[in-house]
Amino acid sequence: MDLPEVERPADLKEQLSQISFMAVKTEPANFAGVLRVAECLKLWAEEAKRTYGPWASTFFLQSNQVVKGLRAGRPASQGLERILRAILEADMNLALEIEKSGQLPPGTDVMVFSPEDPASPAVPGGEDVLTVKEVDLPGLQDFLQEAPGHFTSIEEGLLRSNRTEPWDPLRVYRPFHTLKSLFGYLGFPALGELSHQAENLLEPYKKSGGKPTDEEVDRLLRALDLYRKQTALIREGIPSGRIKRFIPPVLFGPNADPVRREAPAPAMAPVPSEIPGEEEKILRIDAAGMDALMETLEEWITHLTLVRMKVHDTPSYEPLEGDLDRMGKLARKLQDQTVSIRMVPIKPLFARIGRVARDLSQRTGKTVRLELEGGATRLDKRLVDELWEPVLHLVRNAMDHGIESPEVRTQRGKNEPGGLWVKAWHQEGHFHLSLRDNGQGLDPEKISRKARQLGWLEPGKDLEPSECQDLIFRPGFSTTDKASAVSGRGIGLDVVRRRLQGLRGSVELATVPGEGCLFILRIPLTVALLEGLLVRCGGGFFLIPLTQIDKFELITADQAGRLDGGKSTPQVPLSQWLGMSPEGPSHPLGIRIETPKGPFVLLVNEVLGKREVVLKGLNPLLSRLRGVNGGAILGDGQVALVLDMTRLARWGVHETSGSESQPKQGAA
Amino acid sequence: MSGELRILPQTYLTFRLGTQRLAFEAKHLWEAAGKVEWTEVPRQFPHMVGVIQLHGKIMPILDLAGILGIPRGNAGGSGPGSFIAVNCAGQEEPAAGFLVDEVLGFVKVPVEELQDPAWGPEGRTFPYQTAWSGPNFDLPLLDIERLVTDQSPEKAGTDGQFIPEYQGEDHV
Repeated sequence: MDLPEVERPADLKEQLSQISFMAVKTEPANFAGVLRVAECLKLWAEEAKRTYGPWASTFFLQSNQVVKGLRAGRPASQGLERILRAILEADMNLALEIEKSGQLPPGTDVMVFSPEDPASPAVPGGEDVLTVKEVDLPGLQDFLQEAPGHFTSIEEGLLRSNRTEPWDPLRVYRPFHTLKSLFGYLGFPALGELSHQAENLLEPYKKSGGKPTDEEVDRLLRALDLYRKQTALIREGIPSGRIKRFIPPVLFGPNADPVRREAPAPAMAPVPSEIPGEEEKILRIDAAGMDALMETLEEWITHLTLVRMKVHDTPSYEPLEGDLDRMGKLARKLQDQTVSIRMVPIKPLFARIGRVARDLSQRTGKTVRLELEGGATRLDKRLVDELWEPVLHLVRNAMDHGIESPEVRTQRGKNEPGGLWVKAWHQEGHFHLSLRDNGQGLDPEKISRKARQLGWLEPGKDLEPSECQDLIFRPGFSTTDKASAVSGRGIGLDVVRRRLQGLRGSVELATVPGEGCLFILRIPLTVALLEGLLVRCGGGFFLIPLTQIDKFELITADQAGRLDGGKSTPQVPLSQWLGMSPEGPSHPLGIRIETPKGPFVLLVNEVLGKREVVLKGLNPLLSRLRGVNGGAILGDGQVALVLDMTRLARWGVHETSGSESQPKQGAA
Repeated sequence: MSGELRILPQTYLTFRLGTQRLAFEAKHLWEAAGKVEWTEVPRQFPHMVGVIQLHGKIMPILDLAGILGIPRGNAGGSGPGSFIAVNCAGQEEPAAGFLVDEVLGFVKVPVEELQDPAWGPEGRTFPYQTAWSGPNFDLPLLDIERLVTDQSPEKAGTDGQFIPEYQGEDHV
């Protein structure tokens, strides 16, 4: 017996998900079916053991319980969910073991930031108005596209100077030089002058190959901040009067030599500048054009699928099948290549993490060792930008709440530098980013105490570990009594979860008290892809986005009545919600969906399985359909509407909790 | 050089609903197809029967017979029917598709043949009709653009009847 086939055999979670699907469709009386699920689970646990070693022992125990439950007619999903959680904890333990062994994955960037940096220099500012000739200058758009690449290169280069390895000053010098030309050409002489000063500062190191001091790095980073701020203003097209003038002494300090004023910025068109750090040539492509190309390809693939189906059904066309198969593969390859064009390396995000870690190290007085792995992992450009805010919250939380002060770490027998590990990788067609710290982890007692204080938990009761993890993502929850400038207002993790859901992704958490926390962010590779559960209701197909529901399990109508220890779980036919006529006499399948207000069972005609689809916007006439927020074209050309589970669940729970009322029936 | 300024005849697409021939300006035609099958959608708006994908776009299918109050032929049922996709001015994508019983073809109608809808036989004027074509009042011409616009939920006044608004806490 083999495990369910998946694209990458090592995808343990995907395999478990497939076994879960198999288990749902297996009736307790189906002895052979239960046996098959049991065998698959056993094989799966053995495979998991190869990856997780001793940490996988719990998988075997949980698997046995799932099988026992299946035989007794209990849904398998709760047990399988426990296994998923165990995988996360095993991930965490595995990471801790690797950390203790001191092994570093190849390509990992390591930086150590210490709070013992010199006093901060004066923050640049001033009220003088920078002269801006026109905001709509020729070449301005090119500059606005190019500038972030230069900023990232400078930031990366400066942060690399913290490492023990040799440092190349040209990695920082060159982008400053390019920026000088660009600012000069665009008519921002003061900003050009700033680059000129940076060059002067770096000049000795360019010759000697040495590294700038921490103080100098700090000044250069502050200059970079100023660049970013001013560029943002230019991007917004703010009238020139609002753009403030840079005060030159920022880099040289108040006692420095007067700034040289000789022609820092040549008023000539700059040569097409390289994007520093990128060897390959870059071609800028309009995003809308890429979307149109994607749509045409999808349409082609859909038609090709239809033709293949027709050929398959017509014996005389049989010789064409091989050619059509090859065409199909080529079309898929073309689609993959098109998707990959939208992808950019995650490296700029890493550079920003390094910067934040450095700044927070100074502000919190904690030394931190940052390891960044997988900077070359690619992701849709838009997602890279949108991922920043949740990542920022997690880094702040780790630095502020997670990693202990040097004194506490010493008392606890830990190394003084705290550790922060960030890793990016692709798996199961998704982008993953993990952030792990070796701080104090989550304390279930402290969280329970805070929950009782907030009135979210009855006096005398304690939370289960899984409940603790749910709670810390709630808005307004923070175990810190006093908010600091960095975090502690109880909005960070809530924002993380909401942002991830907005990107159709998810966030998972594992923690070992006293050892640290591991967050894993998971999002589709492009904004266009959506993973959901495809169901049929009457004559319509609907997709339930997996990212919009906390948990779900598939059950038969028979099982629906035996859920939750015999308590009555509200059952809501999807057809009734949407005002459709159900096909057939009854709804044979239910999807049990959990919400903070309690579970309910959504009844549908058929569950067709998980699908990854390209999400499409809706025509204006369709966009106002309530309970629907998008559409998708399935492989056979049929259309599925994407359900807005947030809205449906809100309405469903309201209708079914503490009320006997049924969903209202409108006019058909 | 002398010459007479003439308004060129407009081209119309003619189709059949039940026994009734109708037409609309051909410039609004996006695509006409034979038998199509659609996917059912929530019945929140009157006359919207389903969706299809047309060249990678998802498009609503409307029951034209129902909108015009014409006795249905094949088009209003649940089975496949002919289909016409139309666009509106300024839109790059088809606005909607209509189920009809048969697509008949194009006709050119000289301006001088157009007649006021009110002059037709009593009780035979259709909603969204802009004119009659021909002396026998045998071909009603429709303002298809206005017809599409009026199907929007705001105009139809039926903004999703089935799922009531709940002004409560956001749970999920």
